[in-house]
Amino acid sequence: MRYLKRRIFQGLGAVLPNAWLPGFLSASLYQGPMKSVCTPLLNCYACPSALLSCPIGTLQHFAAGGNVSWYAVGTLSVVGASVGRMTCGTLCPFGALQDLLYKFRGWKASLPHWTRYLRYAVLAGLVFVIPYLTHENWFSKLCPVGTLMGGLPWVTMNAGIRSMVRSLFWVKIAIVLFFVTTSTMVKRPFCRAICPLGAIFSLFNKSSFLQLAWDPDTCTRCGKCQMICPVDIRPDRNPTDPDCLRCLDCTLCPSLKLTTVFQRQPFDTRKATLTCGENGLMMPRSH
Amino acid sequence: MKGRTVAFLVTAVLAVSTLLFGIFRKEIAEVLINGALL
Repeated sequence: MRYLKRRIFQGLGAVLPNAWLPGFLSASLYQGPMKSVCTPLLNCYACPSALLSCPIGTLQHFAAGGNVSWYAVGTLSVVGASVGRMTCGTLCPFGALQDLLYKFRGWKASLPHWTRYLRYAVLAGLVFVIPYLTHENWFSKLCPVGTLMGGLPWVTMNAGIRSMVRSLFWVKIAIVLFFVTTSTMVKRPFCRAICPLGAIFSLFNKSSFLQLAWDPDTCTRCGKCQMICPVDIRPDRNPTDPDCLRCLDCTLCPSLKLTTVFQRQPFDTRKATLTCGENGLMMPRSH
Repeated sequence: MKGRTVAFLVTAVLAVSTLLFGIFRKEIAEVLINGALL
């Protein structure tokens, strides 16, 4: 039921920011007031049906002009301070696609630990420094979400744009194919290693309003939370891990639960005492 | 947990201030134009 709820939210995250369906019929971009709102998702605003703006595209646009978009930084900070990386886990359509691709049976691998730092390099380099130096939005040019939601629909629909296709487009297709292929083997490779929006939100996981709480008294360290985690982390070792997407899949276990930063004792200590065994050792509650 | 509460309050105040500063600088118009006229 919890998985189904998350899939429904991910579906809404894909549909609602891209609800301008006349854009596909008229092959034109939505130009109304909603485009002034930055979505807290990696959602391409060049998609014909996009209603909202991409925050990473906005940051690059300002960086290319030698400025900082305080509006985009502020929007992302407010979302991050409220829920941490929860939008990555529950709303992001590209994250949902990677979740589904990983369900394919076959050879599976884990991502090396150092790759989690790449996303900060991508954020600094491709979103701020290189756009500032070259006056071009380089992350958007290579973004696989942009290729899927913006590039491919436009090339399919518009003969004029099709005639303008150059080698960069095929590089973008290769990047999409790379992440589609690796997503069948590795849990969410793009979110963990590349996504600059995830890099921004992950800075807020430790101090956000919503927090994941872990109960050491009832946890048996069975490691099942890592098996169901979409980013392959152990929430029992670090509930505020910057990689944690706050998807809440692991809260199926009673030793992990969603709480707020103001909650002093998220777990019922009386219940934990009741599960105390005869020899004084804490026994796990039935899972 | 107390330190985390303080960290949240400081983060929240900074986040809202940054957003309001961006709105005050009339960045919304540029975001709209950039998003609509790619």
